[in-house]
Amino acid sequence: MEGKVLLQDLAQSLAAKNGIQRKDAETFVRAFFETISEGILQDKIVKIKGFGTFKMIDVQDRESVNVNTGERIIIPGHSKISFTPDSELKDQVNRPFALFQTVVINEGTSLDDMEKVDGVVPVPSELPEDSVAPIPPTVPTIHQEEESKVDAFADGITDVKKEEQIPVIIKDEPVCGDASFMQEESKVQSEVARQTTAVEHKKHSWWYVGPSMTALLFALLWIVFLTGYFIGSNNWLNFGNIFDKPIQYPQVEIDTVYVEKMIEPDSAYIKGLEDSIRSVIKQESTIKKELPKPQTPQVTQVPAKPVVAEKKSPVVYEIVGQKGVRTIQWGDYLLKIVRQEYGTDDALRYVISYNKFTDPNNLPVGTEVKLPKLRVK
Amino acid sequence: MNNKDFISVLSAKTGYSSKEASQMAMDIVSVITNELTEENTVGITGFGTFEVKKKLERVLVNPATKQRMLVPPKMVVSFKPNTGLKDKVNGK
Repeated sequence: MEGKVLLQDLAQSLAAKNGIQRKDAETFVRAFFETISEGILQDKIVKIKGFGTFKMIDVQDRESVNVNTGERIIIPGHSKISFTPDSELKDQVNRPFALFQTVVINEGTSLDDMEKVDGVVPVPSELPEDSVAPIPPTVPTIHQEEESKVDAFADGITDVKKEEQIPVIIKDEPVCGDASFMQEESKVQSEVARQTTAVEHKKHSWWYVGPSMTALLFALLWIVFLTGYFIGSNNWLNFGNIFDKPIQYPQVEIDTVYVEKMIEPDSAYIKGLEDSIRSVIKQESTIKKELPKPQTPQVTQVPAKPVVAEKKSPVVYEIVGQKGVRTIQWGDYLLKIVRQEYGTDDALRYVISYNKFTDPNNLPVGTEVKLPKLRVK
Repeated sequence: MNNKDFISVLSAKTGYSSKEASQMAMDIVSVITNELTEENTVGITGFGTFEVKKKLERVLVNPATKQRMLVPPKMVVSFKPNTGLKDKVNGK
């Protein structure tokens, strides 16, 4: 492998193959290459079957710059020899890679990995994502390193999760400014980083940092709770526990989505019509079981009350006679019809009760919907 | 100079019949091919060096269609003429 084969070796192989004297073989090989070079000089081109083509190519004068002195020099025209291997030789040599084919790259394909291999982009600069506050650029990397290490420890996972939860809480709580939180977070980070750099064994440092950071996180949670409670106490009297809120929020979103899907309008769902709400809540509770549950056990106890409190109070109507009939078409749903006919979602529950629909979420095509005349009470 | 001319010149030079010369030329070629396949360098004094070079995979862009293609890695035979041959070619 990767050795050097000389003319003599070629001659030996040739001699062995043809059963001739080694000396004769050597002469022949010499003659072989001599003939090639003569051919090149004579005809400027020599083709050898199964091997390739030698060509003499004339190169014209060209100007260049001496790299060292910056001087302009003229490289005089000359001839050079090119060798183009025959497809036979090419294929033979390229056999290990023969199965590869040129592929068209689709748009959006990232070639970052490839570039890394080529050494074009040796250091990816991903730091800006983490740049929370005035932390020196080295600190986040240390922190990241540690985080990934923590992930490896089964016990450390809970702490990391707590950290992950915080951004969610902050998003839900517009009152508590993100900036202050960020500062807090950066403090925590820098503290962690400082301790990691100070102590040699990172694993140990994590365990020492762990409790203090957890305490800080709890303090943060309490700050969120208190600010939320005091500022929101006028509007959100129904709040029992602030801890419910962040966890409640995504669930409510899912609920509304679900309700819309089932043709139940959120307004009706929110306002009242006790019967339908109860049925919906029943359905909900079954769905909730399917939903991925957050850790807090109090979740199921407070179904949708915060949302009820947040919505504005609905207009109350009374039914005075009937104004028409609509037939359910393909693609219709009750809320759509109500919006077309009344221009408000508030009318939906009256329509449901007027028609005595037991299952308004599932009306077959062709069902006649009686449209009650409504008057504001 | 094509293969036929080459063989006839070679046979005239060495005294073998053109058939024999052709056979032996093919043998030389096959020996060289085998050596190159095993990534050996073939150096001929007074002529030049044949060696196999690995080419990395690369992306090329068709300038007309802006289509990007991934060209796979491959092994290529390269020939480097000797100084003697180079000088001869340049008439020195």
